[in-house]
Amino acid sequence: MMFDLLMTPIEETPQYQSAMRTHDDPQCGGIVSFAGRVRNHNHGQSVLFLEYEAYDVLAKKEAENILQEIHQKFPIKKILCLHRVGRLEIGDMAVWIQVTAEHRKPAFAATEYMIDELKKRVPIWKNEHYGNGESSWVQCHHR
Amino acid sequence: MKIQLLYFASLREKIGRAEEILETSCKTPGELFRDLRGRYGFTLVENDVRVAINHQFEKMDYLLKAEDHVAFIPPVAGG
Repeated sequence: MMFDLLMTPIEETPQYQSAMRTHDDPQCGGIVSFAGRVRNHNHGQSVLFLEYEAYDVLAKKEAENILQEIHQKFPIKKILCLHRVGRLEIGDMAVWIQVTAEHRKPAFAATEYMIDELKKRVPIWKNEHYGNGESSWVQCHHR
Repeated sequence: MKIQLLYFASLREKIGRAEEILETSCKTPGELFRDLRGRYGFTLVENDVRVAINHQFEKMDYLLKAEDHVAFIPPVAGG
């Protein structure tokens, strides 16, 4: 199980490419992948680009806590989570999660748990830049 | 007592820097936060933030020690 923060596009990393291309666990039949991408709007405002900032050490610690919880709660074999920081353009992948399990139900449940908990707990912030030149730090209200 | 503050996101932007070494007589993160708020005039209130000491989440009534690294965590928005 693994969590990492990156400054480069997620799709270009060896972890992502290897995970999307190969399947080396014949016991497992349910593999769920989730990609969170940058939208061009938020709360009715047009977004030009985002900047993600992380408290690296604590983000990795808290993400590892979430991964531990997932392994305790859901019968899954493997979970990978990559989160990009820095400037992201519309459409860029900000976060990617892949869960490998024997069966699909825990794979879906673990994926959802990962993104939900990450959004609530992990010290990563996003600064939205708008068409009018202003920017604001997003406060997540959705769960 | 000398402590090291780490600032992130909206706090970093408002205060104008990512780190600060501070001589303080504040005993807890709660006291320290109120002190910083008075000093820098940011709009976040105590209920809005969490605190991490030496890269670990702690409570606002934690007893600060010399050389502690203190980070106030504004509302997060990852993913």
